[in-house]
Amino acid sequence: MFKVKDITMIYDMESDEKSFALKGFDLELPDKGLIGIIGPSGSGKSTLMYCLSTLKKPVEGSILYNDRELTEISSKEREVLRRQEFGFIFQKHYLIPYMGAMDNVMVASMNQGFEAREKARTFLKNLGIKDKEFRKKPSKLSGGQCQRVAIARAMINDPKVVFADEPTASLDHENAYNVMNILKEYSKDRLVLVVTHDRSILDGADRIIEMWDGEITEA
Amino acid sequence: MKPLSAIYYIKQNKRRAILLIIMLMTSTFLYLAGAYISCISYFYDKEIKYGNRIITAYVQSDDENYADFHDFIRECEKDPDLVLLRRSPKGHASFMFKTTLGLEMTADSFVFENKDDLKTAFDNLGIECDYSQIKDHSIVISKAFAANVGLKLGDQVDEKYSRFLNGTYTIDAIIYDNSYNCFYVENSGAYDSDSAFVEANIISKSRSGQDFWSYLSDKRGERKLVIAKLISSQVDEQFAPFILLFYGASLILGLILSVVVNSVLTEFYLKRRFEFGLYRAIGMSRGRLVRKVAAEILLMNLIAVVLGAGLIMLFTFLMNEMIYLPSGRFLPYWTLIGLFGFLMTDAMVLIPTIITKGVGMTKVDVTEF
Repeated sequence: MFKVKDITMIYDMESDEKSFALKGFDLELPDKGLIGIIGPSGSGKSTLMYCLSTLKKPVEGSILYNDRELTEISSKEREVLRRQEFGFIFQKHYLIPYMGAMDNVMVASMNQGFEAREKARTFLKNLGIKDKEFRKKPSKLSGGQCQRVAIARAMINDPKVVFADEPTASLDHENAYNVMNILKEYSKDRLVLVVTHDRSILDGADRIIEMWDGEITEA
Repeated sequence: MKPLSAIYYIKQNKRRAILLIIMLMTSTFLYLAGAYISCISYFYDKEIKYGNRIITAYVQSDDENYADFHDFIRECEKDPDLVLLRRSPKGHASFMFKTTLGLEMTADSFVFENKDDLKTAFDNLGIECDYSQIKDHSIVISKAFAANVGLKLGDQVDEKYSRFLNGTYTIDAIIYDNSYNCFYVENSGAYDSDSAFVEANIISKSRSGQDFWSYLSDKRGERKLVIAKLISSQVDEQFAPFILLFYGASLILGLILSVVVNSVLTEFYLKRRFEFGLYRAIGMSRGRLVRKVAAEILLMNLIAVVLGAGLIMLFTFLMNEMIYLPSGRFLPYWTLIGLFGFLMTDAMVLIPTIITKGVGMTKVDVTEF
């Protein structure tokens, strides 16, 4: 699905002391499976995820996604790709505080009709959110519930790839385990990329990519 | 309700929305200020209307024996479109009256030589009047004007009442046209001889305003006589400074309001940075986000305008019924000056706000949080 070649990302391009977040490496990722990207803070794992998901554009190198060169497509095409084929889960749930759980899922849905709402309802239920909690705002939900709502939001459009950046960082062990189980289930026929510095949550991963100082040390 | 809609945002963020709506409502009060400004010209509406139909011609000081004037009058008398009413040279100004703003002002007057001339003029102007009491030194005024200056039918007035009067006059008829000018009947006998006949009211059956004035001016040609300026142009000159002052104040208020609303909205949108960052991450286009911001601000502005307009209409109604109408004054409901002042201020607030906030929010990058 992804073919990465000689990818380089530099922050502070204008500065004399350039900061290399990614130092030119190659990588191939399959169509499905749970892939863990692990490494300490500043190793470049989040930057890699941002480049793959088109949130950032690498300075050099090529990223092929289903034979489309992501570094050359327009801003509009990147938006369409993110909307239709990618799903995002962030370290913080980033739920919109004035929306209830259901609306936080629906906000990402490409369709706003009855069927889409039913689908969101099913997702939330499958993720353990009860009916009475659908209207609750994030401030009235637990951290684990918020992250599960965020997962439902990421999956509402049936994305081909789910990017999860430290999805369990703000969760206790039990909730972290549950979230990883959900992602593992989804990865049976889709690609799920999980960026983390916690190796213990990647027990069920199909593959683990280790990064250090902007390079892949083990894939 | 769609979660991305402007109504949804306002419904879920009532406190913020109410604060902003109250601030945006401020600009609608410029409409009220405009109504107070334009009410000055309201007092002159009828005078302008009548002045467009009745134009006075009078002798010029260097016209020997008034030959040019009389020659012009004879030509006018032959014109089937014109009605000529010889007039006493004793012109009087109207009484001082109080405008809705409390300013003391004076309107012009229309002087006629006798009851028949008054009737001819009123018939041409479409004014209904009871002429039964009209005699020498009669004054006809409207009911509103009478209430404004504290007079009633049968009251006598002289120079003690108004320094513009020369002699004693009686209020012999009340008309209901809401005009604020006096119609005098002199009966001075001034036009019995050509040497004393130096002024005339001229009425056109088909022309009015500038068209009428130009017609008379063309007819005058090189002859030495004065065709009085249209009342409308005099009123325009008189009120131009007020209107300019109002627009200047609107601009300043617009600037202040723009800064205040922008500051408050900056605070609001700073708290929503991650929300818009998320929207960008999940693939919403920049255009969609600008439209979302614009829709939220415009909807709140619409609510502010509707509420503000309602309050202004209620205020105007109460003030008119309780204070202004009983004292022969009036605050207009509809004012173009007020509308323009409000639109100018509102645009000064909305356009920069939508541009800065809309564009600003599309630049939020979720990866930088």
